[in-house]
Amino acid sequence: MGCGEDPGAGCRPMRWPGAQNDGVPTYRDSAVVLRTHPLGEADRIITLLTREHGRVRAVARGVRRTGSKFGARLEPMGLVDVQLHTGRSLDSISQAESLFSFGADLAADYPRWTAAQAICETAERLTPEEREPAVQQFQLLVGGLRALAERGHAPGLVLDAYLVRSLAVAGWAASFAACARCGAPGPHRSFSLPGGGALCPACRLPGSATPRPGTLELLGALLAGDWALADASDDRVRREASGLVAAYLQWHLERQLKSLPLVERA
Amino acid sequence: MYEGIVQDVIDALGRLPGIGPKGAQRIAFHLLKADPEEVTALAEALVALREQVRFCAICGNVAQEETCGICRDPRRDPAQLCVVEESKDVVAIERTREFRGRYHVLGGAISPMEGIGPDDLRIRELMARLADGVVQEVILATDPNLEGEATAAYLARMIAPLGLTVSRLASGLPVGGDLEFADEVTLGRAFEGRRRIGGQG
Ligand SMILES: [Zn+2]
Ligand SMILES: [Zn+2]
Repeated sequence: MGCGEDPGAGCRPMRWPGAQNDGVPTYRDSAVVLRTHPLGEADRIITLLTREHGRVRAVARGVRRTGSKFGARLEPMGLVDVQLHTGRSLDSISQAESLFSFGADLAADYPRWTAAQAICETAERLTPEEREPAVQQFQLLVGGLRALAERGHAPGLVLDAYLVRSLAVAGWAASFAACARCGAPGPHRSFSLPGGGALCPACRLPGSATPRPGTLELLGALLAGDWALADASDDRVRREASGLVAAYLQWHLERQLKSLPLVERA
Repeated sequence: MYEGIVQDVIDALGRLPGIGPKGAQRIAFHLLKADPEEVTALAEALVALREQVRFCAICGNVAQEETCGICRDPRRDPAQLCVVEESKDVVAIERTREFRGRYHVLGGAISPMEGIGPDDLRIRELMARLADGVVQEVILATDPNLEGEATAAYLARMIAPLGLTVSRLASGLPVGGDLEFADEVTLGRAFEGRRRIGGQG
């Protein structure tokens, strides 16, 4: 997503000279920790999706040692307020305050945790360019993790809602009701990923799927946030919808998500 | 870039965990200047590591025979089983001298983003070990980070139907850290104060 499409959200210059660091540029942002990698003896590389600066990979020094102030705050799925120093290849994290930690709660609930992993991996994959502002992806990520933690809806539904929305924000919206080719109002019986979604009988492409009547309705509800309809859906419809969402994601991503096959769906 | 062999050694060392390009270069030049006997001993130890060390057929810990020393030791309490991620965690817990039972080494933690699911770890072997009724308490000593917690939650749910006591190392371990970084006193205390998370007894 470029700045032009969303003025004000991602274009504010956030870099200013660090007062305590002799001119090394620093910046501050809210971010969700997407993943961490060990680096050397005691450091980690932290992949963040920031609100203003898009996806950023940064070094956090000493975080694996006992008593590190950062260790717990920079755990995956944490929402943090971070200060970073701009580096030549990698930025480094100089301060981190925890705003909210979704991880500990989610890790105790295996189906929710695996869904959260798939959300974090998707957020990383749908922000391929580092430092390209992606404020809507950031908001969807926080919303998805929060919805999982709040336990208001089945984790599989939260995940699929997140996936259809984040794909739409990434520019790959599919139509679940009106015909994707001619716009004829739905519901329609055929669904085709190359065709852009639901297709009317006249526009139907060879190889189109014919999902159950409720499946496209569920996907439309997940995209629109109609939770009353989504929560009332039955298991067969949910399973079919999940399959279509996985295929839809696969269609647009070059490599498959590692976490998606490991999501435990009830 | 150095020529041939020197660069090969630097590249090989640089692929090891915890060693960056500068460290790899430092080690390579240290080896060039070191006593040849020392370097030969290191090379032989590395070859022996791959040729002679295997994984215990019972617990998955490193072993030089079919089974490891702990599994063969009749003084270890077979009713208590401590589940850890890696062999290095066995070493860390042994140092505390708090635990006299046996171990099960999973070979890692569940990490969907890395493509590691339950089937990639020695969980099936764990469930097979628990089936004979000898083990009475399972202590989940996975790392005090999210993947360790999620793995413990998964295992607790798997073990629950067996009716065994399931406990988790007490908090007090640094959150977000690795078990191997915990000092003996903290780890020993975590063991003593482990909390029950499932089962009766
Ligand atoms: Zn049409
Ligand atoms: Zn053994």
